[in-house]
Parts: sequence; structure tokens; C-alpha cells
Amino acid sequence: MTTEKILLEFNKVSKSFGSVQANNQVSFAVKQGSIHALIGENGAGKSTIMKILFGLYQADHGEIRLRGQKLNILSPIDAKKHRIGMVHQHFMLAGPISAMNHFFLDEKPTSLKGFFTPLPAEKKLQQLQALSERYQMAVPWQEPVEKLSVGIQQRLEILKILYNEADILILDEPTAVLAPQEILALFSQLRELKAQGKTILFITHKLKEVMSLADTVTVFRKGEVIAQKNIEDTNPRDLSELMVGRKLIELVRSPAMPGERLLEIKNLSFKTQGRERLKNLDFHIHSGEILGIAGIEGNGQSDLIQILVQPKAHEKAVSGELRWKTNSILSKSAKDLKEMGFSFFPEDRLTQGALVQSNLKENFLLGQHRSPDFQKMGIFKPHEISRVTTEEMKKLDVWPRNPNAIFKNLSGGNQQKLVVARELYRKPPFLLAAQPTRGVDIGAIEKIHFEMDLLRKNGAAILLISSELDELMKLSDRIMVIRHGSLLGQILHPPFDETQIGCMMLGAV
Amino acid sequence: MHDVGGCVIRSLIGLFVGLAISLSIVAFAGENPFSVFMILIRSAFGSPYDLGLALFYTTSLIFTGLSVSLAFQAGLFNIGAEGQLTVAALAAAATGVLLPEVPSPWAPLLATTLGISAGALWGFIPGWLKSRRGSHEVIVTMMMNFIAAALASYVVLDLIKNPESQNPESKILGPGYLLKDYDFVQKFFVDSPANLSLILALALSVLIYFFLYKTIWGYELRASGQNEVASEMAGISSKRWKTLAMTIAGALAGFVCVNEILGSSGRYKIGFSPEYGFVGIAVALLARSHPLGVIASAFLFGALQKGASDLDIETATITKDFARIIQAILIFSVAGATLIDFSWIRQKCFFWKKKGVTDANFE
Repeated sequence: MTTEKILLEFNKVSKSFGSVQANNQVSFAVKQGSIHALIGENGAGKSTIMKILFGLYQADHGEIRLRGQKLNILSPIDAKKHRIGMVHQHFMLAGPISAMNHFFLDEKPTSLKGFFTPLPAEKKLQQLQALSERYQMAVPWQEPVEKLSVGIQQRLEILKILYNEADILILDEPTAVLAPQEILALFSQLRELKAQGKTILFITHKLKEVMSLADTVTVFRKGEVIAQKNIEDTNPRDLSELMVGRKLIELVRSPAMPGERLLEIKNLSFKTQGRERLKNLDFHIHSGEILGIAGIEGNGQSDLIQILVQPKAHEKAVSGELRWKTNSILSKSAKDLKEMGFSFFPEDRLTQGALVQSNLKENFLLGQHRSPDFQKMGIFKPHEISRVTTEEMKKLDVWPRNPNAIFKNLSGGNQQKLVVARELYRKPPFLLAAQPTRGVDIGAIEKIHFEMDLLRKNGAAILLISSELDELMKLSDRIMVIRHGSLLGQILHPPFDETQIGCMMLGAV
Repeated sequence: MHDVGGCVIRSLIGLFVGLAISLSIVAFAGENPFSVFMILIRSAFGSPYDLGLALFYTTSLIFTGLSVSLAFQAGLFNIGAEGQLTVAALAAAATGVLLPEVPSPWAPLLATTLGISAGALWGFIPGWLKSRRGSHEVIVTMMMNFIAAALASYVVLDLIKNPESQNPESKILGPGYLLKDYDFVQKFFVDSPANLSLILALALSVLIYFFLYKTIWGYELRASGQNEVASEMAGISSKRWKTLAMTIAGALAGFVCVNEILGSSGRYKIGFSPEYGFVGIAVALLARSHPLGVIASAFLFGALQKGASDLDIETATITKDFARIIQAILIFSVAGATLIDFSWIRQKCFFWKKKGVTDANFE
């Protein structure tokens, strides 16, 4: 084997966007036939360097060498010529078109004859079946893409690259959207590709995956390469501290002290547009408790969130009971619930929880702008707003520490920390935390988890809806699994079994 | 607003670039750009009368500019300021014609109240349809403009026509309705139609600024405009705010009746508005929907309006339409200037780099 041969070499590559230095003198090497992980927090520059390799950006300085030859890649088309392919975080697929036809979208007839007699469908199918056999990746070729699971869609993206004979595969956060079992399947496929001599570059911020899959790893921080290591010589703790640049404090959960029953849901169903979105949900949450809801996205979590945030807007479509302490809150509006102190971390902070064009003060006010802390007779108290916002930003370590900064200019982690700061400011008795750490870096996750545990210790009832199993298992006192709008049988207590939850999520019980 | 200084500098750069481009087009048309520029300046500032006329246009444009801005802030595009000001002027004029005996302090108040109420109604209808039925406000307000114009023709020409005039206009309002008695503004601009409404317009701008940026209601309105979903989830009824915003926008456009009917002409003249409602959109765009920015931007367009009519007379090749071209170029260049990235310029500029100026945005 020639695994020791250097295939790709990055040599002092720099790239800046305006005043932001995205990559600064980045140098590292990738061996032929290896799986190489690139890790780092959001904005550390790992995606940028891959986009430079793929031709989406041009480097300001420095060079990339492929098999010792200097590369000059000006566009993804050049990258394709050098047999480099990339699977983006967001798939580039067209919903109603069949899996098969995605391979022939850019088909151009080379002759007049070819124009009138395109490759017959059976021939195409044969070609593709040979492809999927060769790499052992089965795909239902005739189905429209929108009917395929996310895992299969991703498989399709990888096959598209392999169809173009790529030798170097770049995968941008490939596991972000997958269920645990799908991740295992992906990993075994990637190992198979490696065995066939492909080189894989793998962007992630999940260290467990790095440890189980990669051969070598490059750690990025603030646009620079901090370390390059062989997997045998490192461990997750070591890597996370390299990523964050400081020691991390492991969350030590405070002991469970469940109190009175606060939120209670009985036989709750939700039907819209003739479809039953939620079926007979039954659960309750005590004070001082975090109840986790696991499940693959799109199994009714969003509907449950909508009902809990603005029950009144959905009153007609809901049947069953929704109680706070002993009072029904089924006909309460979002405003009523805010007045009762209910808080929530939105699933998608940009569309559901922020005014992206506005500054941090105005975002901090959203939902609590009527609080007497911030206004008197309808007129804002600007100094008070500035003071409190700055103070709370300090508590959650939001950067830049400037309440006049515009929300959209913050990194995902800082945006989320601001949302968390806002929602926890009034010490809510109930918190609905939907995907509390999505797209957030390790340092921020640490902070957010700490704050949620603190709130729990202070006696709040917390409903945690997350697609991250690790997060659920770390924070929850109990876990339930949701699938097709129903809660599956038993409620799980710690110690949680990852495989069991994963099986329930996929419906393989 | 954030970074006010930067905003002003960017707008000024845009303004100068826009003027430079406009004047070079003048050169293509065969005129001397310098003399054209001088005519423009003279026609707006040459005498108290000239300035008064420019300020008269400015006043109406402040009202419509505020109207469009407020709707913008609520995420709505108010194309209907023209119709709103038409029905407002019609209501004010009809009041004055039909109830000529009302004495002075009450008469203008009554006419104004009815006028802006009519404008508010003309805004409320599209706003309500938008939040109730999802009808697009652009289509509805546009239709409302036609209805308003037709209604005005009918009422003025068939019901309250001035029989002594050859022009298509209404009878003259009762003497108690005119603002002349209180008007100190007019004394500065003798013979021009500038009037007390200018002060009203400036005060309204400040008031709307205060409302939008300093009160929880203004906050709710802006939040609804920026992100309807997030606002609803935060307990803000964005649908109600959209209806309300269109209603207020209609009332603001309605204030034009004070300037036109009560303040100057004292009657309803068909075609009195040189499309204030539509130029108001340009005013709001240039001001980036900021109520205080509207003042400056309305003055610019008011002066252009005045300048254009003088150019039409004083030059051979340039017509009134040229003002429209300048307006369009100014909007493009000022909007383009918002993209100027000072930090980038600083970074690239060797001189500044050497001096070690740190980048404030990077902090």
C-alpha cells in the first residue's frame, strides 16, 4: 500500500473576507487513501479552506499541491477535472426529480445523433446499478428524491461525486442531519471507500466521530491550524481543548429533585389539513426536571412546539388537555404565556426567534419588551435596556460585547447565547428548549448546558427537544421518543442506552 | 439607528456621485452641466419665493414619505399614498364647501380630522384585507388609487364644482377654514404657497420617530415588519400591527390635505398633486425609512421638483421628466452607497494602514 504517500499539501494558504481573516497561513498535509478530519468551532476556517480546494473561493496567498504539483483551481469545474468532489452541508438535490435522473441533469449530447436518441433509461439504470454495486451503496433509483430519507439523499450526493470518478471526497458536516444508525451506515461506507483507495476530507465538530472514523485530524482555531495529529496519539478531551483554546469544565449534573407536577399533557392530538400531526400525547413534567424528547426531525416535534408556544392559534385543531399546574392553558395566546413567564429556545433562531437586521438590545427585548423592567407607560427606558442587555451578555459570554452590534453579524454560537440570555433573564418557571445547541460551537454548548442545568436546579420544568442524542442523554432526567406524531411506549430513565433510543427513533422496535 | 455618522457620510457620498452622473447625462443632451447645476441651485434657493415653493413641495413629500416609511417598517409596501391623500383632500374640501359657516379655530380642526380619517380609512382597507385575507397590499392600494381618483372627479365635478371657474375645481372653502390667520411661516416666503403645514410636517416626523424607536408599540410594529413568525411567537400580534400600520400610513398621507387645501389653495383642484404619493416612495427609499431621514430626503426631492420646472423653461433640451431621471439615479447611487465598506477601504489603503488605524467594526 502507498498510504504513507502525501497526496494533498496546503502551504501557507490565507484568505480574508473584508476585515475578517478566515484562513491565516494554513498549512497541513493529507495522505493518500486516508480519512482526514478537519475540526474546529464555527468560523474557525475549516469550511473556507475546503471551499478553496473545491474552487468556490480563491486563496489570497499560499498554494495547494496535489501529488507535488501546484494546483490552480478557479472553479468547481476545475476541481472536477482534478477529481475532487464535495458534498455540501445542504444537499443540492431537486425534490421531484428521480434519483436516477440527477446523474444526467448536465448531460449534453455530443453529436446530433445523440440529441435525438439520448441514452435509454434501462442503459442508464444499468450504469448506476453497477456504480452502486461497486461502492456497495444501494439507492432506489426510480424514486423521486423528495421521497427518500436524508441518509439516502446523502448517499446519492456521494455517488454523484463517485460517478464523476472523484478520488478526493470532501464532506461538510455530513452527520449533522443523520440519525445514529444512519451515521453508522455512512461510516462503514466511508471506510469501504477508503479501502478502495479514495481519500476523504471530513469536516465536523463532533469529536466522537473523529475518533471512530478518521486516521488523521487537523484542528483549526480562529482561521489558523493549531495542531495536526494522528488519531492514535490523541483523545477527545485533548482535541476539544485544542479547538476551544482553554480547559473545558465537564457538566456535573446537580442531583435530581423533582417537585410538583407543573406541565401536564393528556391525550393531546393535533390535526391540520386533514392530517393527524400529533396523536394522543400523554406526559407531564415536574418542577426541577428536564424531560427529553428524542426523535428524527419532522416527526411532530415542530407541531408540539407550536402548540406549546401559542396554543390559542391552534386551539381549533387540538383536542385533549394541556394544563399548567391545575389550569388549562389551551386557550392562552403567546402573549398570555409570556406574561406567565414561559420561555422558549426556538428550533430555528433566525426565523422564529430573532430580528436579524436589528441590534442585540432589540433582540434581547423580543418577547419581554412589555416587562416593567424595560418600559414605563409604553415608553422604553433606554439606559436600563442597555445596562441589562450588557450585563446578561456578560453572563453568557456573548461576543462582541456590544449591545449595538447587529444580530446577523454574530456567529451562530453567539446568536444562540443571546437568545438563551433573553429567555432565561426572567427566570422562567417553564422552558421549552428546542434544539438548544444547533449549529453552536463547543464553548457555547458548555455554557448553554450549564445554564439549563442551573434553571432546572432552581425548580423550573424544562422540555428539551433535540436531535442530538448525546445532548439528550447528558441533560435529561427522563427521555421519551417521538415518531410519526406519537410517543413511543415507555419512558426511559438513566442510564440511557443509545442503541435502544436510536432503534426507537427509526421505528425498529 | 445605529452608526448615524456612517449613514450620513454614505448618503452624502451617494448624493454627490448621483449628482455627478446626472450632470454628465446633461452634457450628453448638449447642455452645459455647470449652468444646469446653477439653475437647479438658483431655482430652489434663489429667492424667498423659490425656497418657499420648494418647501411647499417638501411639506407634502414629508407626509407621503412618512406614510410609505411607516408601512415599510411594518413590512408593507404602501403604493397607495396617492389615493390616501386624494380622499383626504376630498374630505377636507367637501367639509369646507358644505359647511362654510363653521368658525375659525374649529373649522380647520374639523376639516383636518375628517381628512386624515378618510386617509386612514383608505389605508385601513388594504391593511385589513392583507391580514385577514392575505390580499397583497401592493395590488389593493393600487386599485384604491384608481377608486380615489374616480371618486374625486365625481364629487368635485358633479357635486361641489365651482360654477364660476373654467378649471376643474371645487368651490372655495368657507373663510374660517383657511390657515392664513395663524400662519407665521408664510410671512417668511412672501407670495409662495409655503405655510404652517411645514411646521406640522417637521413635528410629525419627530413624533413618528419617537413612536417607532422609543415606545413598545413602535417596537412591536417594527418587529412585525422584520419577522412575522418570530413576532407572533414572542406574543406580538403582527397581523393586528399590519392593519394598524396601514391605517396610520393612510392618515399620514392624509395630512397632505392640510398643506394643499387648508394651507394654500383653499379649494380642491383636480390634479393638484404632482404624484406626491409615488415620489413619497422614493423619499422613503432614500431615507431608508427613517422618519428623520425623510425630512432631508423630502427636501431634496422638493427642491428637485421645483428645479425641474425651471429647467424646463430655461433650457432648450431638458424637460420636466429629467427630474425623474435624477431621482432614479439618486436612489440608485444612495442605495449603492450603503454598501460602502469603510473598514475594507481602510484595510486596503496603505496610508491608513501605516498610521495603524484600528478597525472599529472588527472589535
